[in-house]
Amino acid sequence: MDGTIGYLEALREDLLDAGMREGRRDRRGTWRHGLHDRFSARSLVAVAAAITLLAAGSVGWFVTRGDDTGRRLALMPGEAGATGATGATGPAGTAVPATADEQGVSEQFGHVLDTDAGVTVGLPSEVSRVIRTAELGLIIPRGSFDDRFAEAVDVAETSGGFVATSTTRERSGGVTMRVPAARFNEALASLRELGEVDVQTVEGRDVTAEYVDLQARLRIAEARRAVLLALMDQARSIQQTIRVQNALDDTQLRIEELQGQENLLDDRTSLATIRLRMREEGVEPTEVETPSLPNALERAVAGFVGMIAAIVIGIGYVIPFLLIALVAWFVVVRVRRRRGAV
Amino acid sequence: MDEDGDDVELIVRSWDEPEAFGVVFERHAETLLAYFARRTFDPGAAAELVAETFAQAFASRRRFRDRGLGATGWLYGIARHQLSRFFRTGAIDARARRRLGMPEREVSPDDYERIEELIDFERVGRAIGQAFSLLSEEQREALTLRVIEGRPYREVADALRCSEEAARARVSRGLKRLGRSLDAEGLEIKPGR
Repeated sequence: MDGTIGYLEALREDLLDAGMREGRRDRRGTWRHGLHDRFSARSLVAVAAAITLLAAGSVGWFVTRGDDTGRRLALMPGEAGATGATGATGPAGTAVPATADEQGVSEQFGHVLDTDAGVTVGLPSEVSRVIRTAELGLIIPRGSFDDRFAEAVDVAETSGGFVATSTTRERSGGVTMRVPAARFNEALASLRELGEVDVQTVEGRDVTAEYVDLQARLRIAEARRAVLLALMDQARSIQQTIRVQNALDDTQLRIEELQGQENLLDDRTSLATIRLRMREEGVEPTEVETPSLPNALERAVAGFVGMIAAIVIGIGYVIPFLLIALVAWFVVVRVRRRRGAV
Repeated sequence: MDEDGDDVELIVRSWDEPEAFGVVFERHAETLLAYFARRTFDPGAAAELVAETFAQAFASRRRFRDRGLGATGWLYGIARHQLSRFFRTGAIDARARRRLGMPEREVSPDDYERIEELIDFERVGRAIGQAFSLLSEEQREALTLRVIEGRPYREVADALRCSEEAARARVSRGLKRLGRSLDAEGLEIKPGR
């Protein structure tokens, strides 16, 4: 270049001047300039987003650590499914639906079926029904496991119950026992004396409403059966007999189902469940659940959902501060730019 | 390639010593100016495009990474971007210059003529003449009537004793061929890419 074009000469000087100014500015704010030049805006945004997410996650984790929100949120779908299932067994006040067959029968024998309306479904004056379960974790002195285990089995038997399952390891183990509901507290108290209580949870689920509902439905079904039996006597043709017989079969099946459910509830409420775990001092508590693939998957999903919940909660905490920081940054940039322009 | 290696070194050095960038500028400024001038045929725009290209290169010199294209590839990457932006919007970016606090400079009449010289009108004229002579007799005639004399296709068709469709096809084919030969001569007259 031989300097023939003045514009380029001037441009060269302008660039070098800009370089000089930059050098002076660099001494004041190297880190900012370096940061800006070395990384693209996109990577800066990505890093900022990652930091925010991390901060939100840790804040969320700290916040939820106490009350276990994450785990509870994670477990919700499963629990909902479980309660849904039990709910389905006894929706309160369900009328027994009449099948087409039964409707045809009632048209033909309307005069007899009137007696059905006379059947009173009185609520049974039951005492409240409660399913009791207890978890008890005990720490026992070294070398005493075998004795204490035998004593625990004794407690189950002396209180009129039985051992449902038991697992024993070298110096720790567990017993699941069923004892009559009336002697539940007594059994629990004797078990507590076997060692130092580590964990104890007692749960009582009141199923009185379910029970009453079941019994009401059972009575209605039984009344229907009585009516159908009476109709059976009056049937005059084979066709009529067959239709009544079909309706009777359905009703009988329903009665048996309801009785099955009642028996189950009876068993659960009359016999309480106590899950006892014992370990000698110095033995690490072992997870009862064995790591299986579905189990692992469930835990992974629960963990993931819990993490998301923590992040969402954390973001809620972080956002106001982020907004304040943003406004502050904006103001600083504005002021600097104005000062630079002068 | 050797020179490119030097350029890379100079740019890296200019991270801390801006003066080193002056050498890079001296090496490429005039060819870059010619590059812009031959594409825009506008000395004023070409000068400004050079200024903005170098300002951007200077402002982002710390982000320069040698990706096998050397400093020339990097510089012309910025230049192409500026040029296509100019063709698309008709405006020349000034962001980098503003950020660096560089003053706006006018192109003096002397400079204007010198930049025109860079375009090398003689060469352009020669190239156009040569490209034109490469066309077929029919295409040349059709282009003269339609493009240079600006007559409607009906008259072109009458003069060439052919249908209007044929006249259109000849003009369009002739223009395409002309463009291709000029491209081969290194003259990029079509705006944009």
